[in-house]
Amino acid sequence: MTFRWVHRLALAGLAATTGCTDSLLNVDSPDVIQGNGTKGETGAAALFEGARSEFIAAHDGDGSTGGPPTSLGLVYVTGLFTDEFRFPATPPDLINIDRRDLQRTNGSGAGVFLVLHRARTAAAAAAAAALEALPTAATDPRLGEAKALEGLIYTLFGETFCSGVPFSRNVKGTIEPGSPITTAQMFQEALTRLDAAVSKAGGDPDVANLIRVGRGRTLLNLGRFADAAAAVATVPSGFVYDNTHTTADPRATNNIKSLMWDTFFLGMADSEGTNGLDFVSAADSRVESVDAGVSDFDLQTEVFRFLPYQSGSAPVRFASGVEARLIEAEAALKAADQNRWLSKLNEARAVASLDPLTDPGTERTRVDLMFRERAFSLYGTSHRLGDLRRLVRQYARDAETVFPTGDYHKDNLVRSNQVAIPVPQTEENNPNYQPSACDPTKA
Amino acid sequence: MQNFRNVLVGLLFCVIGWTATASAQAGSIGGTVVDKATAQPLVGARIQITGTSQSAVSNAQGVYLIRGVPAGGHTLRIIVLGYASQTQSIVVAAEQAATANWSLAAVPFQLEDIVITATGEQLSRQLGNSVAKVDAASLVETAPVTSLSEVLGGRVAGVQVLASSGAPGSGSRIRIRGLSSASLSNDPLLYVDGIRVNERGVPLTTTNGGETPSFFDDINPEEIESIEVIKGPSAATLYGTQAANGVIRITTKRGKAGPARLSFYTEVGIQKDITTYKPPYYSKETGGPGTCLPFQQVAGDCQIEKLFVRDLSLEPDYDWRRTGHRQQYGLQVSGGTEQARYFLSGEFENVAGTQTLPPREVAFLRDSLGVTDPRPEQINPADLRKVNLRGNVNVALGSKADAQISIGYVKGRNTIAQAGDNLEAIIGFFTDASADPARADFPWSFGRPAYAFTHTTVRSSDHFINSVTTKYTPVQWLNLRATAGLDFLGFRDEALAKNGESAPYYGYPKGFRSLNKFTTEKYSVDLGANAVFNLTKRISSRTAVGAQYNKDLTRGTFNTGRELPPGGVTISGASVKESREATTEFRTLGTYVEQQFGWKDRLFLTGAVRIDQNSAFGISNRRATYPKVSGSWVFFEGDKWGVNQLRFRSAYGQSGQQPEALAALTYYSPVIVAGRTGGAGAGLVLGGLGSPTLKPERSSEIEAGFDLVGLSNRLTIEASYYNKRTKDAIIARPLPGSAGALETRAENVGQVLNRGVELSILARPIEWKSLTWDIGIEASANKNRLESLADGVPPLINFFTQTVVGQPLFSPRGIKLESWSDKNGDGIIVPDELVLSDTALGLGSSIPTRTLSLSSSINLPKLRVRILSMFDYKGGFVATDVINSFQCFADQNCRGIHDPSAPLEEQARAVASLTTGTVTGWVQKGDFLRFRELAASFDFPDRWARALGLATVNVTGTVRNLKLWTDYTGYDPELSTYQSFTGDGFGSVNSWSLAQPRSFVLRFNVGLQTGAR
Repeated sequence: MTFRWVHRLALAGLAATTGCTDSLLNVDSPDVIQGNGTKGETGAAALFEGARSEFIAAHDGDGSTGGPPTSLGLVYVTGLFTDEFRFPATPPDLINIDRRDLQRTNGSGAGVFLVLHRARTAAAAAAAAALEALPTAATDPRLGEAKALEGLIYTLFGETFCSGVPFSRNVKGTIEPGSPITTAQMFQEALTRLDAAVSKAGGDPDVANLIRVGRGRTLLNLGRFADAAAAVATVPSGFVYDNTHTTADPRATNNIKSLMWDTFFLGMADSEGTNGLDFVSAADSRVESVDAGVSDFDLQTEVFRFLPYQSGSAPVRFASGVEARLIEAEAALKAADQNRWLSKLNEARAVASLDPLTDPGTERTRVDLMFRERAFSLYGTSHRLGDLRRLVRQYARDAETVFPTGDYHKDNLVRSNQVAIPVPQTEENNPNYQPSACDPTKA
Repeated sequence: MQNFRNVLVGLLFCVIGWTATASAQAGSIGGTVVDKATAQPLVGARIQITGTSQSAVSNAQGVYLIRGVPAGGHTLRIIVLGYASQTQSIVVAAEQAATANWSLAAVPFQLEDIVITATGEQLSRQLGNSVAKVDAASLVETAPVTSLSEVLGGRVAGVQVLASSGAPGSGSRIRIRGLSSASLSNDPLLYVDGIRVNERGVPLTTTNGGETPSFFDDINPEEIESIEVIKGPSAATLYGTQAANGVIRITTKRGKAGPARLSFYTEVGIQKDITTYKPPYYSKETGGPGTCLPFQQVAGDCQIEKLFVRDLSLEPDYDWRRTGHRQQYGLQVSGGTEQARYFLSGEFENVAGTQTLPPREVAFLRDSLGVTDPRPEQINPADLRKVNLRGNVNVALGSKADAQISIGYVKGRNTIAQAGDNLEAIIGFFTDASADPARADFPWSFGRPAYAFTHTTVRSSDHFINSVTTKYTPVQWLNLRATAGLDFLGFRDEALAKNGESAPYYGYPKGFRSLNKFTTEKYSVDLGANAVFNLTKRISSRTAVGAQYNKDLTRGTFNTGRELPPGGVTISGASVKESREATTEFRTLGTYVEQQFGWKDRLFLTGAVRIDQNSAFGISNRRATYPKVSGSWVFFEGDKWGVNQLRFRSAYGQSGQQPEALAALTYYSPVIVAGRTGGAGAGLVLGGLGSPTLKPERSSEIEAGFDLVGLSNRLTIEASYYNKRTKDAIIARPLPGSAGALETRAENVGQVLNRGVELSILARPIEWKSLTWDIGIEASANKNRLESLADGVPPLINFFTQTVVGQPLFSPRGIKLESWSDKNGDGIIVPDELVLSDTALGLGSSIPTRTLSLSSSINLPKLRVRILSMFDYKGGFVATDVINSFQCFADQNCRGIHDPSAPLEEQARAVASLTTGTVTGWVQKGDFLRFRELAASFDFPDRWARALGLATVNVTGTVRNLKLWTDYTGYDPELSTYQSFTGDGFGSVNSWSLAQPRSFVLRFNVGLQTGAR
């Protein structure tokens, strides 16, 4: 009896050492999807939705845990960096963003840099998959939308980061390191992609208008004001393209809401650092706020909450007909056509049912008004940093007259002189990267 | 490879074939074993026929019997704890019983022992490496140890036990011979009765701030017979992949043949938080509501009106501390016959922590939030309840085989107070408070403590450790062994903050509920065959072949609900729900062959190789081969020049560490995305970017040393040198963000060095009839360095630490506060008087590099009293005091900022952090000496015990953590809040974790029948 038992055991041991090792070593990884899941029409559709998810998470922030890389998002970081938001809590990394003093090791800066590049590569992959697998790719608006998002991410890089951002490629797991390109080159790359997207809107007016506004925004950054106005001329004032949210999932929830309304990790700024606009005290209906009292975190910063982001499912407006009108207005201002400028500004205001404006009378005050209108109409949508940099770059304003400056509102700290987010230290893993290419004090 | 496999197959077939045909004219050897001085029988003595695998163990009457001994001459060796090993020659006649009786002299110490290796039991003299052994069974009765971590702490040179917190149930990091891996686990493997068992602390999956209860401490010290520590790859080669950090091998208690022996023990005790917390300071400016700091006053910016200090721990309404308590009750029964032996054990343990809801917060809950009946967890948020059950059975299957069944069960419930790197950490409420008199009624910083006490977290677990081992000795030179087992751990993490009670700043003002459930299954199968015989009269041979299969499967579901209805406590009622699941699986198949030759039972040479296949290896590198060679030379045995035995040993071996489960795969993760026109859809995003060439980390180690026994066994010295080099170190290589992929990818791009020495000394300087005094020294030194990184891989920079070539792994980093001087002698440090480094620097090792523990045992036999003590030194490392640094740079309430009479050093740290943002002033030398244990034990005289109707009674009083000597200004340099297996990356950081308390315990050990301990 004993012998038979041992014999069987020994045979089992033999089996383990001989023929069936592969099956013994096979494991399930049910949480993840490998190769085949991304193939075919359904795979292409999933990659497209993934690309949208990546873009929204990169732009609006992502409060999820345990999944793909997350960041506070472009809206949060650029809002803190400019006069839109101020920081009512204590982590030094975020205070440094609010003070325009990011070290290259700043984790939040690095986070946004990574997720924005992830959104870029995801959009490119989605477009490629759509072309390959969607039977009606030629008329499917998702192709155009993916291409538009990819192009607009270049624009966002140009508006947010210093000159000298590398754009690398991930080819089937092999990293092909990219070389730094200048701010102007980023906008040009964006334009190339947006131009290619024009014919891929598939008859979807929203996608077509997204591409138009995207082209207008990019051309504005390139200083091609008349071209920008022409690009958006047919966009109706009522058009909106939103980054949509749902509370069904933490990643898909509006993360600005979570940070601003559920806690005291973000507040609206009001006349921040001498030059900041009076977003709160102006009592403008486009930037409605609620006074939430002093932050429970730092016990000193009064927190104002942005009413439109009160809900976890509140959308973040990424492109709109209002922006189109503002682009047209700025082009008119540049062309010294004050009547058209005022008319277009008031068209934009009319969407928000606001009273028309009058001409303030001088070129400088018109520019001030132009950018004030943009700031209030596009509040909390990642436009402000690009605008402030354009004021320096295109309107010859001194950075210290447009960015928040001087003493920080707490902790005996002083603001620094950065006007762009630096390329993070993690990029030193790119052999083609030159840290000297990035000067975050230059617009 | 195929050839190797064929060799194994052939060997195993040979084994089985020989089993069927082997028969010989055999006799037997039997006899008795007694103490030379008392003539009392000795139970548990192992009598082995040298050069064979045949042995027997003496029963309660001291009787033993070895059957099936071939006719002819043999040499026997006897080994029993506390007695000198002896040998004896004997001649066995065919079908006759030979008698060999033993009368053994007790000795203080001995080095000769039986060690359980990967290939089975071996004599320690045969091994080329050191294997440390801890006699846990006798330790727990008299020493102040209550967990496995405490059993190991300070008792084995080269083994570091790094506590995470003083809270009940908190775990420890166990590190053996330094840190080898920069991105994988540095935990040693844990084996219990031959099978792999969960060894890792698993951080709470609900928000609690880094507190890490440990399943390592599920193993009840009361159930342990012995612990063996296999320290490095040179010894752990045959344990294969994952054994590079060493192996801790635990053997639980077994029944011994004889009448039932019952023993009962109970412990009662108290715990005190002995930390002197640094109170908040406030220097009010003249003529305004704000502060004026001394260095600002010196600069003429303002004038200080008055300095305020407020120590909330001294205000009864605010004090959050209480006296914790501990109780433990256990019953053990063992006995049986020669054919079947049993050991049964049951224990209940309860430890209640030292934190409690302050009266003022009770009133707040009642008066402001309407909570009139707080939950028990709200009042006392730290509590551990544990039930341990064990049943071990040994059954003889005829004369040639036996089976050993081990069944263990642990049920745990650990309520964990908010602590660690956590906005709700309870300590933080008091250290971060304000002394501003204007805020007298509300001194808190983040919200108020009531919210933290209201957010309760609980981990419950059910842990089964079950194994079966059978041994079959078909012929006297052959031993077959099979072990199979399952370590099943089911645990759940729960968090609850009810609507209306949750902290508004915390993000869930309307309450939330988390319920995360996990199961981890570790399957082990271990098959082995040992052939032991004498090739010639002088040369012995031992051949071992074996195969091991391990499968680790972890499944988890994460469920959270936010915005609970008033009174709601379940996810069902939450308006926002989130759910996800996670599965991780590893499989390893390993085969090995080992050959050992012995010469005259004095010189042993061993060679071995193990081949592993592992599911986590890259598809291009599916196998790993680990070789090993070792030598052991018993240079001298006898009694000459005061030396009783001198042995030299040396070993070289390799072992590995497997990558993370998905590290070699490129894959996508599913995500939910809101539809552009409503609804929600599912998408795929890049989740992992794997390397198909990923290999295991490979650690190679050379160890050399000697063991000396001298002065009539009153002195033993074990000394070892090791040099461990980890090649192909898996580094989470940072990827450029511009690749649009992930932060990191696991690649084999580094090389890590650990080099060190270990010294163990046991000595009995006094041996009188009325007094013996034993001392033990365990000392070690370790040098840890990242030797190289592949071209193009930059230094690894984390938030707290860096891993840079030429420096220790995970060295804390920052702009260094180099020096300061009060140049103008005004007693105030101003920013100009500080000297800072230009760039961020590595500041030192994050774990101790020098350890020395000194233990003492004084025995007064006439008084029946024993006194044990242990002093523990750890040095050569830096510890990071986040608590006090946060007081300065964030709260701005520390003494160094406000008080002009504060020591200059304290001012310098504070001013540097406030004006430059550098907090490295609190990354300090962590060297300390701790009076860790003191115990006094008294054995009742027999007549006293009999008068009570008992066989034996022992009472022991213990104190733990009596005194700490250190220059470190934080609360406990030994703590490291982050204890997860990746926690090394944070260094020794104390972020609002509770310092180790002082505990007083009274223990009674009672034997209920004759023969009980």
